[in-house]
Amino acid sequence: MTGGDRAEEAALAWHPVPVPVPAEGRTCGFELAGYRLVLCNALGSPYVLHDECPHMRVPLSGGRLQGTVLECPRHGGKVDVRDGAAVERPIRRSATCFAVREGAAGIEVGLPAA
Amino acid sequence: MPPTPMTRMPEPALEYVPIPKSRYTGAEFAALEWERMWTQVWLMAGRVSDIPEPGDYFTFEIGSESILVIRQHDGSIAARYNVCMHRGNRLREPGRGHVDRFSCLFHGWQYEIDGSLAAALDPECFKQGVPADQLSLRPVLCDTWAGFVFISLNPAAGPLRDYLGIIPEHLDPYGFENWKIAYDCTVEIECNWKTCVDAFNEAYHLSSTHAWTVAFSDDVRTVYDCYDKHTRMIFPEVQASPRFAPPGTVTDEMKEMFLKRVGVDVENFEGDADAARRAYAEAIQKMAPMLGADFGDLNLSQMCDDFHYTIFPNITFNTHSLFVWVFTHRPHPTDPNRMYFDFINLMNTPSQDIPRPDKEHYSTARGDTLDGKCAGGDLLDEDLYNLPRVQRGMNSAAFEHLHLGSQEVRILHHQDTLMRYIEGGA
Repeated sequence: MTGGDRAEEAALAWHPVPVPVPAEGRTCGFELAGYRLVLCNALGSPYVLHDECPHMRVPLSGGRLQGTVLECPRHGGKVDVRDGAAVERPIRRSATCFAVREGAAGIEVGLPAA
Repeated sequence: MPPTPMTRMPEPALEYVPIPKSRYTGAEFAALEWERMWTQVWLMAGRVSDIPEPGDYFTFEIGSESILVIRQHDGSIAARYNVCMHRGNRLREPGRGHVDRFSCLFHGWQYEIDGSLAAALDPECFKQGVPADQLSLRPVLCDTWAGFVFISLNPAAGPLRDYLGIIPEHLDPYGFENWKIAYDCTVEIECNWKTCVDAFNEAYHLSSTHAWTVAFSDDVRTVYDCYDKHTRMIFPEVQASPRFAPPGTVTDEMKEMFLKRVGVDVENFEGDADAARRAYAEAIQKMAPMLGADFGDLNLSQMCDDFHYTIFPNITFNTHSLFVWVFTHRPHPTDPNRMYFDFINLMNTPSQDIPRPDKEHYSTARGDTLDGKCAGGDLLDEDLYNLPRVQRGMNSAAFEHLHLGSQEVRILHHQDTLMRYIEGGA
């Protein structure tokens, strides 16, 4: 499980991720509860981010990972999928990450409770 | 496959003339090198395995140029200048990646992975039009050999195979196509690119720079062969230098660093150095199924020794049966007293799944060391320690030219080939 302390977790609504985990180093975009999200497989671990590059607001899905670093397919900016931190320009602001856990039916993502 | 030719070449008809230091220190000579050599030859740009799928790319930086090497939809590999044709912006930062299209950060112009212009923002504002045939990414010649991608900035360069000359015949028996990258780094070194090439072109420095290695490698019985542009050095390993022990001696170092590592029972080993070499080769042969390797085309010397090739102008192969260290020595774009040393270690482990390591970056100016960074890093570190010091010494008023001996014939030959390009005879 990644991200969030207990108080934050309590405010999360957990949703099953509706797409299969992609191959290692790959991403998969999907929509869930009004969010556009991207599921990443970084070194065998799943991470979910807002599917929007902090630079130009184009989708991050379709980008490839090297280790835990996701490259935006548009301009090559990079973020670390573990915490969304900007790694390489032109991305300068962090991407939004969401908590992930292993649920009974597979990967679940924690989104802000309505 | 035909075996690697072992025939010795005759001594090249080269005079042991002084080599002016200005070729190593002068900006004027570096400019000539760029114009008449670097932009004319074939250059190793990277590994085919780094771009397995359409849209995968890596950049190759040479002098002031940056080249995109891109896997195409039809499986071929193409190279394009990494330059947006609108205002000249670099499309991609140095490194590897994947795109559906190349998109310029400056104004958002987009190019397909074959380099053709796909979209320009607000094309109607260009009254002269946006002709795709003139504004697509400029092509660069590209070809492959042995799993390596080569490019040439010379649109009229002949076929890569012709340029490589004897190299495929000599090195194809190793089957580098399927070898795996186990280490990858680039070191910025405060020396001329040729200072670095030269350092690996002779075994004359072994007994001093790498004094500890004479217990298991033989600088004295190293042989040197010069071909048209390229050269070879067969550097015996699993064999001590006669500077260290009488010929035939099996040293403790040979046992520890070679025999023991491949599973030979060194406690009960009896025999001379030839027996030790056979035992080492046989032990490696037994590893073939585990590695997925095929040593069938290699002779005993290739199983034990370093078959060291220099492909003009700037590629070094330290070829062993289990691994090859490949160096490329790239010039700094503006400073003849600086260069980039690329080092990849390829392992002969075709059936093993080795994760592709990220490239590491070091600098001698920062005092970085390769010691402990990779297998053999301590050995390389001794060379890297020398290089900035050699370059600084070359810049002294006291030093005018290189004074070369017969064990340094490859340096002489490299200079001769270089001057054929500079003077128009290549």
